Amino acid sequence: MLHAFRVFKKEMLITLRDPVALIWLLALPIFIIAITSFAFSGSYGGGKFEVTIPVINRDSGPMGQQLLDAIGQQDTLKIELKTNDQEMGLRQQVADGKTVALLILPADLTTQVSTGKQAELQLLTDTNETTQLPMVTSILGSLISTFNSITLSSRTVVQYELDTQGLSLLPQVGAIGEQASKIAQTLQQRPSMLITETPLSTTDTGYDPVAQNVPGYAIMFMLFGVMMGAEAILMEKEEGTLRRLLTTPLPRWSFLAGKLMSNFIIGFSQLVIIFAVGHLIFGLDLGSSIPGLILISIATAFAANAAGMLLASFIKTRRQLGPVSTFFILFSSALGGSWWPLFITPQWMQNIAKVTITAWAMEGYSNLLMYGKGIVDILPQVGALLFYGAVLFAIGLKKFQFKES
Amino acid sequence: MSKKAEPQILARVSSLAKSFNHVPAVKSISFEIKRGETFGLLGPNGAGKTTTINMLATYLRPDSGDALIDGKSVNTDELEVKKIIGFVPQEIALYSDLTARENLIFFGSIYSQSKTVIQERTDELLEFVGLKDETKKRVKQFSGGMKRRLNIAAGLMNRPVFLMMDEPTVGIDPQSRENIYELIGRIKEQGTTILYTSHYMEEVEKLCDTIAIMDHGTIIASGTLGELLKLKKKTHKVYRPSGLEELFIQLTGSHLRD
Repeated sequence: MLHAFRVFKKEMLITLRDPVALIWLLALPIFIIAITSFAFSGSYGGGKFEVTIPVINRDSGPMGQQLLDAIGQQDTLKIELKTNDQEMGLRQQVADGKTVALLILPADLTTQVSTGKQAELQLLTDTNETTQLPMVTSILGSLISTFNSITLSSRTVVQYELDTQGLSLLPQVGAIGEQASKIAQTLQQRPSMLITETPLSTTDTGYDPVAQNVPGYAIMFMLFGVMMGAEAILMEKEEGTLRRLLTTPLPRWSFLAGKLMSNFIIGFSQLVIIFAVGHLIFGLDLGSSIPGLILISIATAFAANAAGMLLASFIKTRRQLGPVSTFFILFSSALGGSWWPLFITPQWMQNIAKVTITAWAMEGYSNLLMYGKGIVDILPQVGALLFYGAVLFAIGLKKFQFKES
Repeated sequence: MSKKAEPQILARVSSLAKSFNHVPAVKSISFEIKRGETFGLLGPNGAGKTTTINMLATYLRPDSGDALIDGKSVNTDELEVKKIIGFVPQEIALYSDLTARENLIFFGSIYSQSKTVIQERTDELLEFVGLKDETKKRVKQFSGGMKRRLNIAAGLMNRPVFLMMDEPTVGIDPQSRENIYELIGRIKEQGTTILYTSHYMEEVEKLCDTIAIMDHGTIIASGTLGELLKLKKKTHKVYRPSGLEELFIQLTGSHLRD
């Protein structure tokens, strides 16, 4: 074991001697996480953005039309007026994810608001849509809030006019303010207009782009890091250091154990650092189980390391390793859900994805980060990764050729 | 009989053979290396020199035959053999991102020596190979000659009784080569037995007490330089032999070996 530790120490020293490669492996995923999180989340703002939603206006009074006019005055949210008989079809479109939301203004909108009662606007939404929906709800919320303020002002004036029987308002500013305050308190408890959001999607995915991108890219770049470790094994073969080591009392298993320990530590550290950055910079919610995160990360780093070992066993030269490992990593990332959530892919792809380490790891991370599950819930994924890793290690170690045949 | 008259044999190679994919690389060779001598294994490319040295260094397992190094078999006492040998491969088998000192400390640590012993030996060898002022440089910043010298030092970390050097002067300039000859001379003076492979006649002539010429996996001639030159006179129709090179060409032929 002491020999393995010596090889490990030497490996760590060599790795840390080339910090540029390490920095790239850390900087690239962070950079890509930033880009994709911005790209896939409207809540991060950014360039010109426009979304159109259908609206059914059942209100026969002026309030519904005024609200639609106000929506029409801003650039981001566009509306398409629809009729009552189109409602069922539009609901289906939202449920199918073809339309982000449907807004229905109630028939009694004007009556309710003008008599000081509450009017309820219905917003039927596709909650699986994460890019446009936050923008729609944000704009509508802001407009309704403005309308509620206008309503407050109008009612204050009208009420005062009634109370003072039409006398001049100017000398009574203080009293008007008092009246406004009373009405504002009432509005706070029960605003004139309220949007009720009703999700129509068949399933709620709980999708969060940051919770998808951080583990996704962390795993992908950890695989790149592990492949550097596999390359280091082949380099020892090509440069003759392995030949030299095999003429010393160093046990063969110590050579591989030291290498793999070093690769594992680097891979695991990479995951930890990227998750820490994800949490601190991109606001990633680390879920309710940090031990669960550590466990799935250990299992993922172990399985990835085993895959690296397997490649180092079957591939003869570093020149071959480059394209093969790139293919392996990109294939695993695409199929396994590093770049997009697996649930948006067809069922057959989701089934095939289970051949990749990435899919098992992503399933574990998603359970923890998106669905609020705990350590016990990810044990199947941890078990699968450990089993996967053990099998790949066994094959890799059996096939690894220390010497030329 | 006195020890000087009949030197002890350090390495005894008996019917050693090795094939790769049914192609014989070494065909049942036998020779002996006396303690304290420098034994040169000379041959063209593909003659079987490296395969032979790899078997003696326990890197390759022989298909048949055996070699005893200081009485220990490469087949049955592999670990014991590893402890007493030093190996300088043809490649610069060093970690280029580490410094000279870090390389030597790593290779020294494999022999389970104490930290103090390793440090002392490292300092001693860095001075011995003329690199004591270059300890902070990484190996990749070294010149070819410096790398070669460090490559030799790494093979000496365990104070081996038997040092095997596989073409240790490949690819360096004449000045560095001379420097390495001088270094090998000093290693020999310390009593280390050396097995030296090369295809440079001049260095074998200069460094080796006994020379074996290998070709096609067999030893076709062996002895001291004087003995080999006499052999040439006796067995070949060449007048006034000028040296080992002429004999080498005559014995191994002048066709290309790629």
